[in-house]
Formats: sequence, structure tokens, C-alpha cells
Amino acid sequence: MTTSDEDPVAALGVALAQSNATAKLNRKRIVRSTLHDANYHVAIIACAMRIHAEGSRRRVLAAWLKLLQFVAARPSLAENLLEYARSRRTGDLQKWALMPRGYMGDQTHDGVVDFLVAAGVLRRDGDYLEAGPRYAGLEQLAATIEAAQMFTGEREILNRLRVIKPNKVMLGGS
Amino acid sequence: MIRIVSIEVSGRTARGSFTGRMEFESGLNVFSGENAFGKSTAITSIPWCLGIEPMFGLQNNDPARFPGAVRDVITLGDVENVPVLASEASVSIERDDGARIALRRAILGGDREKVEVTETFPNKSKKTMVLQARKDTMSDETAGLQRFLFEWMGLPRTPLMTLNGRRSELYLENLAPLFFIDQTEGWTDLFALQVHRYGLQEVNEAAVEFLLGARTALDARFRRQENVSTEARLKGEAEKISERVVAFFKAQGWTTSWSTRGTSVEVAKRWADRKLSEIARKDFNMNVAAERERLTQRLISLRALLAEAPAGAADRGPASQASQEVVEFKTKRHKLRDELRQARLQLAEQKSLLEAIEHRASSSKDVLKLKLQGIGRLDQVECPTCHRELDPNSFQLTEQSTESVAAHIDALEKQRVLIRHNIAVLDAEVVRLQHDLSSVEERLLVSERALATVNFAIGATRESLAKAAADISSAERELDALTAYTRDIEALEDTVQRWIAEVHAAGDDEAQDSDLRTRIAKFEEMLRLQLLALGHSAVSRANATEVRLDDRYIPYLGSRRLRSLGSASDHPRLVAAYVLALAQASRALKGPHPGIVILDEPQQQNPDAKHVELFLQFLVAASKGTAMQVIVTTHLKKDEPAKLRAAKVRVQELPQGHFLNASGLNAQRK
Repeated sequence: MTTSDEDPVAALGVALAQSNATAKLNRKRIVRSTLHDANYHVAIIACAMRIHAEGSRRRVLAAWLKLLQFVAARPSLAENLLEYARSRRTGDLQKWALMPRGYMGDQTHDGVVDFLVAAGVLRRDGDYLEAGPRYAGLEQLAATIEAAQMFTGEREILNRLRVIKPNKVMLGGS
Repeated sequence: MIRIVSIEVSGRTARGSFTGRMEFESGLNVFSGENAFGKSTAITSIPWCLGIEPMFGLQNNDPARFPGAVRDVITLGDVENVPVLASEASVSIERDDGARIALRRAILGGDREKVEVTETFPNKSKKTMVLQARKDTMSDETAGLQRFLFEWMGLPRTPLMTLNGRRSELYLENLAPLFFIDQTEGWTDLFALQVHRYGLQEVNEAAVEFLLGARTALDARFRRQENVSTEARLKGEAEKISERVVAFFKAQGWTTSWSTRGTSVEVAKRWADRKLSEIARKDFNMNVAAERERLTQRLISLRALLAEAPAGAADRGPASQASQEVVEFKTKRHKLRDELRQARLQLAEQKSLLEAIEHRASSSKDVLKLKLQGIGRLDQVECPTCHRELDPNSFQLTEQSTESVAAHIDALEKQRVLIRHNIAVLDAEVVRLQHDLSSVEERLLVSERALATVNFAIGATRESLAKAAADISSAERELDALTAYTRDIEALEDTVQRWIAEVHAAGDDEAQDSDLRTRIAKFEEMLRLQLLALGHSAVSRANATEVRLDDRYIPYLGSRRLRSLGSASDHPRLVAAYVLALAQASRALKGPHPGIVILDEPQQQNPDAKHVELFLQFLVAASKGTAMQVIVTTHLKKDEPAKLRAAKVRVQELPQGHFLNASGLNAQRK
């Protein structure tokens, strides 16, 4: 064991062991990340739809939208995804490991999409999502975000990912 | 001190000539006349003849401040709109010792660029010269009007820096706004007529200090202004020195903070606190003397071995010894490479983590903005079928409160600080490891050469000699490196010290000027008295002690600017109190105030009866106590001149309708 002189953590350990201190959890001080905030997800979905949805019906693969918002919130994954996408063209299977997969379990996104579908903002069409009768509100939100120069990091990543042509196989589907 | 003796304005038309004259005594002079009776025409002659018209925002030699009656058309008798062919103004000024000058300058139809100066000496002899009103007015030693006036009035020349770093000086028009209060703009602000277009730095403050006679403070102000332009140069040099220091320490495998944050004075103070050699000794255990001693002893023993010890008598053979050294250095190199790889990996991870935290912090701030502005809120969304509000909770969604998001941002900021600290520590560790690795690689190379040399030697004796020679060579190289280190750190130290000395030489004026404090205290005392005398509604006997001047000589009552207190009609009272107090303080302190104060129409904003009465009382008091010349032009109502005269105030009324009257033969009067 290291001595307390060498390691401040060890010194703290020794001090705690010798005291009558008890652990007390202050729930008010537990900080939740905004990564799980519904407003944040709606904002990023709005930006992703503005940048990636195609045609007059504003269609996008549901799984691709899920991956897009996941990577947009985590910039370190963007390069991996781009590299993986590049490798697919050359058939390099070694880069398959770079494909981000954590997005599959992102339940907040699923909840937000369900909510937007229930509200008529989006509509499901098989594996695709497209604009619903109340899509204008989402488009308006994306325009506001763009005008106010908000979520610049996320929007930059979403723009960089435009070079990728997604398909179901790439996204792990059949 | 000087006083205005007389003002005369005259002109010529096709129908005859016109003229107007005012004469003044020492002390208080009150001139009363109806509006548009020409009081301001007369008063404007003073700045015009002094050549300081830029204080009215005019270009040089522009007489636009005069009314049309002397520049365009005049009413002569009952004939209106008579074109003026030529006009001029003259002002006679007397000095304390009885010497006089008469300044005459054309307004229309003559050379406005010149001022004719007739100087009458105390022995009554006279001298007339023509001087340049504006062109090189201060710099021309023979023909500059202001140069002459400064000399004649005994005013000291005062250098000031301009905003673009050029050396200039205070002009008369920079001082005049503090004793000449023009009837329009002069009353709007204390420094309303200050000429800022020359770009003189801190000209308002310098003008006040000039009139208070605070020479030490003015000199210090100028030196400090000069220093501002040298500050940029000093900071640039500091940056270069800092780069050299950091590079030098890095070359030794050390990381130190040698920042250039703050002003050059702050940097110099920080750098002076620690010498480079001390940092090396205390933070990195670099004791040059001990190291030199160790290497010298090693050389001595190696040489002794070469000269005296029996060759080949060592326990281990020289070849195996050299080989062992190579192995040890290779092991060390391997270990250091491994440590360096780990440190670099950790550094890259921490940098990546910092990037992620910064990204999250930026996003969280935007989320907070969304929530605060109510953009994209989910609780206002209704079902398109049943039109009931959709509850996000039924979709397992949570919307964080603004407090929660703010707490998250706060936590991210703390993490960012922590990660940045980690990155700094890892950066230093990488530098140290790189240096250690390069040092080990160098020593490995030396050892490998020594091993090769020993392997070439045949026989134990030759092997021993070869090993000893290689060791001596290695020790000498280390000693050389130590000498180079000492030389470099001393040179660097010398550069730092010279820079610090330069900063100290440039910034020696930070000490408080007690002379200035005394003068300001006098000014404040006089200001309180004047404000009470003039009846400023925000200042009473109870709170007058709270009247003070800030470091820009702006008057405050407690913590509030006096200008923002009281009624609209208090504003001219504040201006009048300020200029009179400044003149009185200067006189009490033997400052260079010219000794005249001109208040053109001080009853601005239609004061009420109470304040008119206060104003009259003030004039009565001023007529008794004023040693300087105060010229007041105003419009007194019917019985007021008589009241003032009864109190022995000198009041002149303009009885003939206008200051300017026809004086030529063919002029007609009603």
C-alpha cells in the first residue's frame, strides 16, 4: 500500500478510515446529463431531419436517424463512423468494429420518436420516418436553432455525415 | 494672472461703419441686456482673438461663431440687411505687472489667419507684431500666437501623448473650456467644449491638473502615457523571452510556468520573484555547483586511474563492464519508451475527454437557452386525433428543469478544470520522458562506441586504457554540457533581468502624488462652497462633505454622479460652481489659472424665483470675495440691476438696444 505522503487519495482513505464519517447522499446534488433530456433529443432530431431527410416527404431511414442523433451528441464517434463508411466501399471488413453500436439501446430517442409520431410531427412508413401533418413545427425549430447559432457542434457533425449513403445492411439490419 | 480690459468689435458697410465696445474691471463684471442685444457677439471676441475657435467645433480660422451682424448683414439704424464689407474684433488684456497686449483679428474682409498683437510694456514702450492664429501656433517659436501667449501669461508648456502614440501638448483651447463657459454648449457638460479631435489622451484630466498647478502629476501622467506605447513593445519582448525560457527548460526535460499574462508591470513582478536558476534548483534539483563538483571529482579519479592504478586490475574486465553499461542503457531506454507511450496515450485520452466535455457543455448551454426561451417545449403538444395534451411521461421521457441543466453545466465546468489540469501534468510528464529518453539514447550511443573501442583493444592492459579513455571523454562531455547549461541559463537570466529593469524604468510613476492629493482636496473644498452658494438642490450643508471628485475629476455626491442629481436647472449651477471653484483653488494653490472666468448666460433653463434670488445673492457675494475677474453676461429683470448696485455689484446695462452701433457719418438711426 502506498503511504499517505505519496498519494493524496490514499491520504484521504486513511483519514476517512480513522474518522466516524458516514456517507450521505444528497439527491439534489446528483446531476443528470442533458444527453437524456427530451428537449435536447427533439432539437437534434429537428436538425438531423433538416440536414438528412430527403424529398418532399422528408423521408429518412429510422435506424439512420437514430444513429445520426447518437453520433451528433458524441463527436468522438464521428470519425469512426466515417472511416467505417469509407471502408465499406473497398470491402475492408476490419473496419466493421469501428461502427458505433451503442445507439441501438438508446431508449430516449425511441421515446422521443414515438412522442413525435403520436403528436403527428413524424409518421412511420415501414423502416422509414417521414414528415407528419404537423412537421412544420419541427422545421421551424430547426430554423430557429440555425439562426441562433445553437448546437453548432452537433450540426457540424450532421453535415459531415452527409457523405454517407446509409442502407439497412450497414446499420446492422437485414 | 491676467484680466480682460476691453473688447471692441467694429466693421464697415457701404452705408457707414459700426462699432461696439465693452470695458471691464477686476473682480465681478455683470453685463445685462435683452436677448439678441449682442452680449455674445462681444464675448465671442475673446476666444476669436486668442485663436481658440476650435473649442466650438469649428475649423481653424472659421468665424462662424459670430452672428451674421458681423459676417453677413447688419441693421444700421432703421435700415435692415446692410451687407457687411469688413469687420474685426480686438481684445485688450492686462497682466498683473501692468503689461498689456491688444489682440486684433479680422472677422470678415481681412486675413483671418493672422492676429495683430500690440504689446505695451510696463514702461509704456510698445511693440507690434503679426502672429499666426492657428498655423504652427505652438510650435513656431517666432510667429506662433499661442507660443507667444503661453510665454506672455507665464503658462508652462505641457506635453501629452495623442491616441496614436504621437507626442503633442496642451493648447489654450484645451484649457479654455474650464474658464470660458459658452452660452449654449458650455452649460451642457463640464467638458462640453473640450477639443477631442486632436486625439490628446486624458485631455480633460490634464487640463484640470494644469489649472491646479499639479506639475508633478502632469509629468507623471505624460510619462505614463509614453509608457503605454512602450507597453506593447515590452509585452512583445516578454513573449519572446517566455518562449526562450520554456524552450530552454523543455530541453532539460522540465516544464515550468513562465507566463506573460497581465501587464508588463505584473509580469515583471512575477518574474522578479523567482530566478531561473532557483526554479531549476528547487523544482528540478539542479544544483550546478554540486554537479560540477561531482563531475570534476569523477574526472580526477578517472585520470588518476589512467596514471596510477595498475592496468587490468579491476574486478570486472573492461569489456564486460562496457557491455554491461550498454545493456543497462538499453533496458532504461526500453522502460522509458514504454512510459512515454503510456503517457502519450493518457494525454490523447484526456484531450479527447476534454473535447467531449466541451462539446457537452456547449450543448447543455444551448439546451438551457431552449428551456429558458420556451423553444421546442413538449408540454404544449397535443394529440392530433383527440386534441388532448400529450404527456411526455407516458413515453418514458423526462424534461429536465432549468436548475438541473444549470447544475449539469456547472459540473461540466468543474470537470473541464480538472481535465485541463490533468493535461498540463501529462504534458509535463511527456516532456520529461522525452528528455530522459533522448539523454539515455545519447549515453547509450557513447557506451556502444566505448564498447566497440574496448573490443578493438587487444590484451587486458589496452582494454583498461581504452575504457578509461572512453570514460574520461564521456565525463568531459558531461562537464561541457554543464558549462553550456550554466552559460545559457545565465544569459537567459540576464535577458530577463534587463527586461525587468526596463519595465521598472518605464513604470516608476505609480507612486501616489501627495501634492496632487492636496490640490484636489482644495478643489473639492471650493466646489462644496460654490455648490452651496449657488443653491444646487442636491447639495445641502448636511451632505456637502460627501461631494468629491473621482480620478477623472468628475464631481460625485457619495457614490452618485452629481450631474445626474437635482433638477434640470441645477446643471448650469454645477458647471458654474465647478469652474469658479477651480479658479479659486488654483489661486489659493498658486496655480497657473489665468484668473478670468467668463460665464455667458448662466441663468439657463429658466430658473425659478428662488434660484434667481440665489443667483443674485451669489453675485453679491462674488463681488466681495472675488480677487479674479469674473465676467457674467445675463439678462436681469427690471429691479434687479438696482438691487445689485445697492449691494455694490458693478452692473453694466446695454442701454442702446444693441452692442453694435452705427458710428459712421452716413449711418442713420431711428
